[in-house]
Amino acid sequence: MSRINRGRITDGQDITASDLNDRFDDYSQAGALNAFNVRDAAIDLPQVKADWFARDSFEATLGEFSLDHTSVNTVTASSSTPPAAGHIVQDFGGTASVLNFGLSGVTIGTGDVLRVYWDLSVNPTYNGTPWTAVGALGQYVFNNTTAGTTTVATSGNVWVLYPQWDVTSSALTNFVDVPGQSDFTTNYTGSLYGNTLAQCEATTVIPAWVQFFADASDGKVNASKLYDSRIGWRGVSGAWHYSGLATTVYGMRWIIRGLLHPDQNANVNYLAYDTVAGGQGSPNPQLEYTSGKASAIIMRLG
Amino acid sequence: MKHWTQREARAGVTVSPDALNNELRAQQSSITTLDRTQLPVNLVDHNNSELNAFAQVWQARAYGNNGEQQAARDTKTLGNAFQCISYSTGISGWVNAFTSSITLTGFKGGTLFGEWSGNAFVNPGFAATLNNNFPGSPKYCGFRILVNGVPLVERRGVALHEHFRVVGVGRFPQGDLQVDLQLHITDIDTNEPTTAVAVGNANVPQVHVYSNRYLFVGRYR
Repeated sequence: MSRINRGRITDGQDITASDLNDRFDDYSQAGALNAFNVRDAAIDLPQVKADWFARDSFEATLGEFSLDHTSVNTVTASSSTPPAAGHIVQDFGGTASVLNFGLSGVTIGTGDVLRVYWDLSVNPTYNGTPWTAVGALGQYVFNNTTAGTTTVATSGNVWVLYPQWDVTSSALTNFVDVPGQSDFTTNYTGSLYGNTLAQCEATTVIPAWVQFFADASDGKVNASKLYDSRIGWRGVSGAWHYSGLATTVYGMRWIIRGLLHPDQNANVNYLAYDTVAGGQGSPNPQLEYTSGKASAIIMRLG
Repeated sequence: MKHWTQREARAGVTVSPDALNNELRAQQSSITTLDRTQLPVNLVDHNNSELNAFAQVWQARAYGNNGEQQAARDTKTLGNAFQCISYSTGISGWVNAFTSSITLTGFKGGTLFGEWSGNAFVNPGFAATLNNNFPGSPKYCGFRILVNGVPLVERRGVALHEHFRVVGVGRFPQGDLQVDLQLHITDIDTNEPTTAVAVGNANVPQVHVYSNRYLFVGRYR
């Protein structure tokens, strides 16, 4: 602790008021109370506000709850080029689900990080074998065990779910893709549209289907033992965080697109629209969804 | 600031040693026993606390090569596929997913929360080839986070083309921490084809991990 270096006053000593006041000043000086005379661990949870870890947090429901799936929202795959507009995640009445940050929004300073997490209950559906259509991206051709070739699914076809934010006003009429995320509508070669993987920082991919090939032998597929399987209802999740230039965020919403598939062009990897597979079956491949949650936490980096 | 609690000495007042000693005794007692119960509550918030006093965050929104894993990249994969890990790249066991480690500079000792998420493509088809008498088991891409070489979290991972997120919590001593993010692919089956029928590049892609992001939080109290 800090020390006061002045001799003590004893009985019989001749003293004046200034002696006393000088001594009192020793104790009353500003800054005398410092780290040395505050006991170890004096600052503890009672002294700390509840917001010390996360400055703010927000939560919203995505879609609408339906335990037994009697009601669902449905997104149909795009079969056109350029691809159809993305689907805004919404409730059964068509109202967009928005993670709202309030009338004043929330400011993410240069020393802050915005952490965003989401989940959604989804069910990819399809009819027939969309991957076998001529020109579909989602197919491989293997030699088979009867000296021919067999077309199988890559199981790489996916739906994508990604967030947009509005950083202009609480009117929430100017949603744009979040930094690091694009909308899969870049025509990068021929008739192919999509994102480089570098443009997928906030993307959640959702498998559209899966096919297994039993009893492959000596590097050849057994054409009579192809088993495709529906993915079924499942929960999917995603995450994204932002830190950097200061910005005020007023709200976020989520977009669904599909079907997409891995691709490459000039040594760059892409997630590309597979509009051929997306146009197969009656109805075309679809993504059903009900509800999920979106949450955001704003923290200081240090 | 301290204030008189016994009696304040003014000019011309009659003084005695006790006028001062009693005051000092009261004040010194207050100073030497100042602890958490005497301090006001809710005086520290995220604005007035020192940087890194209670917590510290390290994060990257796109880690690796534009968010893509760097363990291996086969440039001879099929055209309608990622350039990624194939069985021609010789990957096996746990391998670093990225060419450089993450350094959590200035970790002060305490609880570390770690989170790694992204998307993973896995080629799932050949899960049960001929003469494989075991129940078909999906091919997985496993994930684990190492902190100073010790697993913080290890998960079986994903078996389809889907999103993943692994989180773990541990306690570590003070000092910079080295973090490695590792992946593990399922090894090849003896009857599995590694190439498809195609003109030119025909290697079958096996695993790719992209949209990689990480976030670590050190909690010191």
